[in-house]
Amino acid sequence: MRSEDPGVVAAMRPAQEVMRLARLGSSFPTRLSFMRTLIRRLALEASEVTRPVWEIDDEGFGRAVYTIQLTGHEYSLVAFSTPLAPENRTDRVIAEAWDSSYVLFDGVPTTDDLDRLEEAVPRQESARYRSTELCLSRANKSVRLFEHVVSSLASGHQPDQSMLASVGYLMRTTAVYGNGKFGISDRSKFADRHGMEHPFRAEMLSVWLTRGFTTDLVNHIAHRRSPDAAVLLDQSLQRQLGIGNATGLGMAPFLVNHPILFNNWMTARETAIARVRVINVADSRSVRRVGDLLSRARRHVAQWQVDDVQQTERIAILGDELGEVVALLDHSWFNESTPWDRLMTQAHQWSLETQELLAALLVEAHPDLVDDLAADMASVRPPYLIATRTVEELGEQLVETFSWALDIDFDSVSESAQFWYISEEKLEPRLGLRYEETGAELEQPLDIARQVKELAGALANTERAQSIAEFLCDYPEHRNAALRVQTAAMYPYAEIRDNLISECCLPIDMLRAKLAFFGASKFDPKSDRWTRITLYQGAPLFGDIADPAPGFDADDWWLPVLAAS
Amino acid sequence: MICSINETGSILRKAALGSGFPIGLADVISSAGVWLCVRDLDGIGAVLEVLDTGYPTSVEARRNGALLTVSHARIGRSGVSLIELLIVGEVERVIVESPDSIMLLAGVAGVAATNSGVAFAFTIDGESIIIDSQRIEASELSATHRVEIEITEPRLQPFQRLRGAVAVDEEQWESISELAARIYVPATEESRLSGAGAGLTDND
Repeated sequence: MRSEDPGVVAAMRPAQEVMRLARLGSSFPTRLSFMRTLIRRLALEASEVTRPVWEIDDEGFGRAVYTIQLTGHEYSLVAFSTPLAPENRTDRVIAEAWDSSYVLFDGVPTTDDLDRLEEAVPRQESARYRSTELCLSRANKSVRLFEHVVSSLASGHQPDQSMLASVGYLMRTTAVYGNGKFGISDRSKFADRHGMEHPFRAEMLSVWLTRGFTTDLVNHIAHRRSPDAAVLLDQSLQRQLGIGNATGLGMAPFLVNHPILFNNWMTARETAIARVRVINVADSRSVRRVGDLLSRARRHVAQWQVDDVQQTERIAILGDELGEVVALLDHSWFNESTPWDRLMTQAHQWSLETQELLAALLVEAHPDLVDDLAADMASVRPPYLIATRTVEELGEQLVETFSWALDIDFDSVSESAQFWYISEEKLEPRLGLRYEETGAELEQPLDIARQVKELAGALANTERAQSIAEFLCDYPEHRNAALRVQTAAMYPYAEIRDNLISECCLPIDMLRAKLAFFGASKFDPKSDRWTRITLYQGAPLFGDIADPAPGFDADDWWLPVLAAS
Repeated sequence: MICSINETGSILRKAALGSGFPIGLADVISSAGVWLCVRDLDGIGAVLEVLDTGYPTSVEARRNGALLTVSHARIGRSGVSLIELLIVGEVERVIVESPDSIMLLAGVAGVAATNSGVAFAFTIDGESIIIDSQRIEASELSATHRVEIEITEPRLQPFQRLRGAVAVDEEQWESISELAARIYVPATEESRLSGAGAGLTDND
């Protein structure tokens, strides 16, 4: 970690403000998000994607390989497209079959590799894999859009732009597995490679290549369906299509189980915001850029349409408030110093959505100031307990970092209403109602606040000079809580500062926080437990990276706006 | 069967939870098992040894000045504490009698050495075995009735990520998976419909 200017550190938003569920659930992607940093790297290297294998039949079924070089290493997306009965098409983990399935392969697969993978990959979790496979994923077609695009292209015309805008993707991934699942490579195998140091880099690369496969697939089927009349999907429309993703509860425990990693993501983002806030005088270029980005953000928000009533309301308020921001930022606003800090302070009058969008926007407008922070977002080692400290020190750290948890009455029904569990059905993560459903005795230990409050009770009855080592001899059940407290004391953004078993806990907030760090936008909540999103919408295509048109900016796709509106 | 480090750690953690160990100790057991596995030692077998009789509620320990003696030592519960008491300096020597898994105790010491930079000397039948952050100077640790542990000269080495695949005995994997399955909640129609908050088909 780099040493940060004390003024910047002082300007960082405190964890007690930032690490609340409601605010995390209002997160927006930033230029530090993982898709953005990947595309910047690819553009810097002018990485070329080749397609050494394309064995796809007239109906669009078969296999294909895409290979790309990233910082001296070759990686290949191996794609399989297979028939799927409509009644089997589900985004749930419990699905058994998919329209397409993928691995990101370390290197270039041989024919033997392809044959082995073709037998395994369409079966996903029920097969075993090797360490040559870095990611495993699958995707289902958007039934609404896929056939519409194919039939339009086969008829010789481009698909309906408003339909493209309303769906945003040809396929949506329903799981992207990494880090050793089902025998695939541990992240540690390649995490030190140049170009692969960033969190979720392999997963993000896999999804970007998958996006290219989906557009190749519609072009191919349309051509086979009508060789003489078919046209290719217009490149500007291709850019408007991303990859959909259906994200469920599995992402929420990840944030709880990786406190240092989550801290590092948040620290990078909050440092970026603080660096902008301490700017004394805004230069004219950044003022113009903020104005342009505000216009874009308003158009993006106007195109952000969802079925969920609550989110629709939030989007409407956000749209209105962005209008107020524009009105506020007239020329007089810049007559006084620290205009961005004053804007962030002023933003407290608006909704959390608006506050967080403004923070992301200000970061977006200052690339030279913030882009280096992306290098610090990984974590090298898991947390470990320092047993040499005393009970007194641990107690002080607990009060400093978890005082919010001490006031919660975990004996009340409302504050212990939910429990996290793993279903025996394909090990799907689920959330149950403790007082209505069975299974609470097998609860997953995500009740961090409750564990820490119980630790506080035990510490109160222990001699203050005692070492933590001695304390845990008598109270081994508090080891995890002690470690959480020590970790939170060292990594201020490590811990979500809300009760994750309360009836008020909405898992969707955790999902959105994580997905925003991926770079997702247009969150489309389908319940309080899962959401649809779009990845890489507006992002460069393969050709934009390898051979960009003059003046093309591969890094300018924050909050994409569709041309149709 | 070849497994990744991450899935090995994950299944060991679940197995420890399924055997009744609290989460903090389940993490210790899992880390120790993985530390052994990546050194081609029988980490899964060691974990199975300590999970075999479930989570013990008591520890038989006698303190005599700087010497701590633990009888019928249940390493899943007390192993990490014994090692930490040595690191803290609360005791200078630990005698472990009739441990359920000397191998897992070595794994616990290995993880502690990785995190703290110290090294440990295990004396078994008059022979000293050194465990530091990188390696264990013995290809196997046989069942023993008594082991003495002291801190020895540290050989400071930088932290290194665990790398490599884990060769797993399939019978052991089945046994550990059965223990892990104890934490899975049986599926009901209600949980299937509402637990994940999503429908069962999606042709959007």
